[in-house]
Amino acid sequence: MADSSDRFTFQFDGETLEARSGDTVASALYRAGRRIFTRSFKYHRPRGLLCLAGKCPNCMMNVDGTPNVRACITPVRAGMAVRHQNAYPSLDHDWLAAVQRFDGLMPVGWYYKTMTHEWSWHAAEPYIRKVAGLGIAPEPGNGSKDYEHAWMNAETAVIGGGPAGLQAALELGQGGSQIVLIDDQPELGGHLRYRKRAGDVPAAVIAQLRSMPSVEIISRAYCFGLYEGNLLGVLHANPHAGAIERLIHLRAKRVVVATGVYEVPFTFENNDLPGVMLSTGVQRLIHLHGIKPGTSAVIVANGAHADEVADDLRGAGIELVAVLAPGEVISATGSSHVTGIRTQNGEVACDLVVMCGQRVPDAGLLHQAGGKLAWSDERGAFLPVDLPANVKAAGEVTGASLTRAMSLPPKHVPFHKRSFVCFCSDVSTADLRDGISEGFDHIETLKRYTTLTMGPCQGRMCQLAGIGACAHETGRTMAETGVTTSRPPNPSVTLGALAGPRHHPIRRTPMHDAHDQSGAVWMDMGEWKRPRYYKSASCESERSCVEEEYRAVRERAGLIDVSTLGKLDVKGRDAGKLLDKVYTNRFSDLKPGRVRYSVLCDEAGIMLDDGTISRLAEDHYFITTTTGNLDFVQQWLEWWLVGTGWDVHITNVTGGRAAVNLAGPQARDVLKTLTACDLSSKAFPYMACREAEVAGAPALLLRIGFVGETGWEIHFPAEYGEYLWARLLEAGKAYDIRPFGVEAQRLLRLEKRHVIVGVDTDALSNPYEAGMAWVAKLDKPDFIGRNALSRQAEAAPQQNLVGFVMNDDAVPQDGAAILVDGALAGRVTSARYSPKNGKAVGLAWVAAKSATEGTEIQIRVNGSTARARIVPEAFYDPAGERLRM
Amino acid sequence: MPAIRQTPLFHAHQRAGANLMEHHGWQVPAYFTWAQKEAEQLSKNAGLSDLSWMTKLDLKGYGLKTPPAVGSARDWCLSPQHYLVTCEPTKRDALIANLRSFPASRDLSLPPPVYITDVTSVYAQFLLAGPRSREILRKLTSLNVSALQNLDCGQASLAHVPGIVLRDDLEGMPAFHILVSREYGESVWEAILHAGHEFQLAPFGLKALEFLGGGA
Repeated sequence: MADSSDRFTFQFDGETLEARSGDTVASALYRAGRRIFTRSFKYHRPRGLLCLAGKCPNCMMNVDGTPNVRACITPVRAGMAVRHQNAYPSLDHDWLAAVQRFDGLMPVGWYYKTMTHEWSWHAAEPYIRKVAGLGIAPEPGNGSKDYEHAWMNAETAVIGGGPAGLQAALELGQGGSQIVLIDDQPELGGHLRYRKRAGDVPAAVIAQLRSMPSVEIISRAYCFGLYEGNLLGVLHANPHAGAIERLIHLRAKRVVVATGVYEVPFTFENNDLPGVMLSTGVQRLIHLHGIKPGTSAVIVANGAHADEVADDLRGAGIELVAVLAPGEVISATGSSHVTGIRTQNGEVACDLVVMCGQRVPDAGLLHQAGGKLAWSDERGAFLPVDLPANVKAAGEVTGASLTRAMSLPPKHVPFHKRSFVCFCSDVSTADLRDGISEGFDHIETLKRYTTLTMGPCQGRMCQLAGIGACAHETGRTMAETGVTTSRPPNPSVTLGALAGPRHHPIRRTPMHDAHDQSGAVWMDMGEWKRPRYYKSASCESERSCVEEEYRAVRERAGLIDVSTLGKLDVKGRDAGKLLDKVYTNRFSDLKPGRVRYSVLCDEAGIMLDDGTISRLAEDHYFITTTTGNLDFVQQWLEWWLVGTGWDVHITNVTGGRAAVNLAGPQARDVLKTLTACDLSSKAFPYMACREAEVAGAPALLLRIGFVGETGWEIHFPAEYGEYLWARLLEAGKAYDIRPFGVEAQRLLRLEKRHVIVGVDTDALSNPYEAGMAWVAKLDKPDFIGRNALSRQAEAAPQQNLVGFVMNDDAVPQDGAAILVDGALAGRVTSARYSPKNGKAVGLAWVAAKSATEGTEIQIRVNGSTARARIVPEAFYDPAGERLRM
Repeated sequence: MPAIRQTPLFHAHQRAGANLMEHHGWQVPAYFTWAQKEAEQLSKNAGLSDLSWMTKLDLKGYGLKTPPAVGSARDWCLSPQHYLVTCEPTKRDALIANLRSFPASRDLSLPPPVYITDVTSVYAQFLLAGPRSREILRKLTSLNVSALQNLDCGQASLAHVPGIVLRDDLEGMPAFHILVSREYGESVWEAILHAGHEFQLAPFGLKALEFLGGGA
């Protein structure tokens, strides 16, 4: 019982209300006099508390910004802000309730029947979205609270904290099993908490369980799915003050489902009026919250539980006006709250109708686990049978103690537009009859046509009545009619919980903070952050900054952070063999101390990645991959290694090596101040590699030139990243060195016509058409893609990757269309303004017949057409002399 | 300019107001508040420390059929014929010399050698320790943390990145070394602190570790 000494306030629709400790949002509102809790989905009919167990849709509200929170199982807290949903202007006076006057225009399946043209749906949709809806999604990034994920493992997961679940947990726990017990209520005890006749809550058992270190109890958490391998989806509401919900991935060797039963309503006209409640809901209000739910009550019951409920009502001081059988009831009367019950013998006035409905095993999880639901005439329920070996049912969910509260299929179904089967979507018995008469007479098609069982309660309130009505109308038995499939999530889960915390991993290079201090403007490359360019005092726009960086590299020296390159350390006696097999170039004959470039193709000869491979020792290679393809290349190498028996071992060292490219005509002068390594072209030629100390740090120097100038790619331990970056910039100060970003690098390499695999090539590009025939060594006996490449080498190309120079000042965008003689002939892959040429240059795929030197092409630029000319060679230093200087 | 070695969290530690000290050439946090308080906090709830400076060696080789002899270092079997060895930086060179007893040779009659790659720089290494550390880890990884006994290791996604978890208890308290690729270091550090917020997780420095007897 709610403790009346501890009182506090909360807000409902801006009004301050009082609550007591132990209250749920719903009980506090009910005590404050609220009777209408929601408005129905379709007709905006007033709806009040029904189940008080979190099973029905009747109390969903917005709590602290989160929509569709079930008020009846959410403990109220001081200062909580609760708002109504789906009613305007208020729950008590909802203008949209006028909709139900036009229900004749909205027969079952009315979307299909009325909106027969596409335009009609587009015209109606915005209004339907406003009128029918379940709350408003919270603004993203609003508030400090987050959704969380967690993973747990258990030998046994017990679902349900009622008497059966507690007993199962105790027995298994005493047997030494490690247990996680999940219960959806604020406190353990299940129906014993509010059904006084059923016995007392076993406080001793609960205390014993809490004292057992191998038992973990999670209250206010429900299990929404049982997936393959006994993976349970568990949603834990408000696990701590900083989290809205926590989604727990619980994997259990065994699952004990002790979810018990829930009660479902009878169908009669106006059975949805506020004040018409399930008996267990009434018992909860009385015994859990000390609330007197009404003054004069009518019990609708078929014998079962009627005495127990009558005792409870009398004990709470409620006058019991009548006890009626469900078949006697014609309708409930009243407009916004029940005022009476109409029977064949006249009307009985009351303000509370208590339905002792049929109890239904909460067996959805057992169904999901692979069990079957078999109809039992004796129990009046679908009972779980044929359970898999590691899933057990315990307690009332087995149906062992059920009694039939009504005849099923019903002898009489009151087909009426206000006799509701589905409270979530306002599906009435009349709608079901109409659906069946239109040919949807199988329970699964009837479900899809009428949306029965498809709302927030996921069929808990409506499934049995729906099957009963269907059986009655089609003349079948309950068993023949069958039950719809239970699929997770059931009950519903918020998308926020599934999405999880707002954490997106970021990969930072070792020099990240140094770039930040140098005015880096960042760009994202997958999860990596890379400087696009650096803002400095001497430049304003991106273009002028990039051009300054460009000039530094072409005229003096520049330094770029290339730590994002994928780096693989390959060791083993057969390492060369593996590289020969996977890459198109040859590596087994590469001498230690030399570097070779290669592409990597699939079996169809399509270029997947490229990079340099250095041989550091007889059995030791160092591979670089493009930034985005590291994981793929590593897996690809390992895939082709499987089963060969070769002695090759691949270690990903990407994070461990900082890498910079120091390039420019004065790069050598800068570097030689920091290292004893002989950097002369004679001792250290182009495409060579050396291990040497640079400023005291151990480094691997590769003399390669992506940007087309003399330069070294320097790899060194990541912990020296900022140190060496600073030392190189300091040493370069005399030469006015500049750090440069990705944008300048892209321009520099474009002038050299260096291809970026994945930017200038796509899933259809082979090396021949890309103008890189030299990279495929067809004289190697075998390698991945050799057959396809051999054919491509002979075949006439369909298209070619060519360089072009614009005739005027236009700068095409990447991806711009290319026209030849007015017809579409290709597309631009990269284009930049080239300071060297004074015009934009670029790479483009062009139909082979037009891909000849000097051909004039047209490129779409800003909606008009600009002219360009195809050039065969690199735009800058075509002979590559500067690389070798 | 001295050649200082930075962990991936160097700047994050500075921003957090850590007092940095030199440790085997690395700049590492000595303490964030004060050592005794950090040690107490850790013993009561949980603590997180940046141990990226610890030596990590990757051992691979088909000749590696039994655990390598690593003396006082720790060896962790990541997969058959693949071990990770962790040790204090002072023990690195002796350990490598010892492990090199397998000759690297092209002579195919000899057993295939064991290949050693120093991956100290490759991984950010964090120590998550204390009575609540398991509950924090549960929010970060699908790894079955409760089944991970002392000196067990596991590999799984952790804070959305590939991670290695090594359990090496500290003074009877559960303690987990978390290894992620270095470039994710700051991102994962933040994610762990965020997940541990409800358990009063706080960072601790080398001094607190020494205080607890687990230091170098």
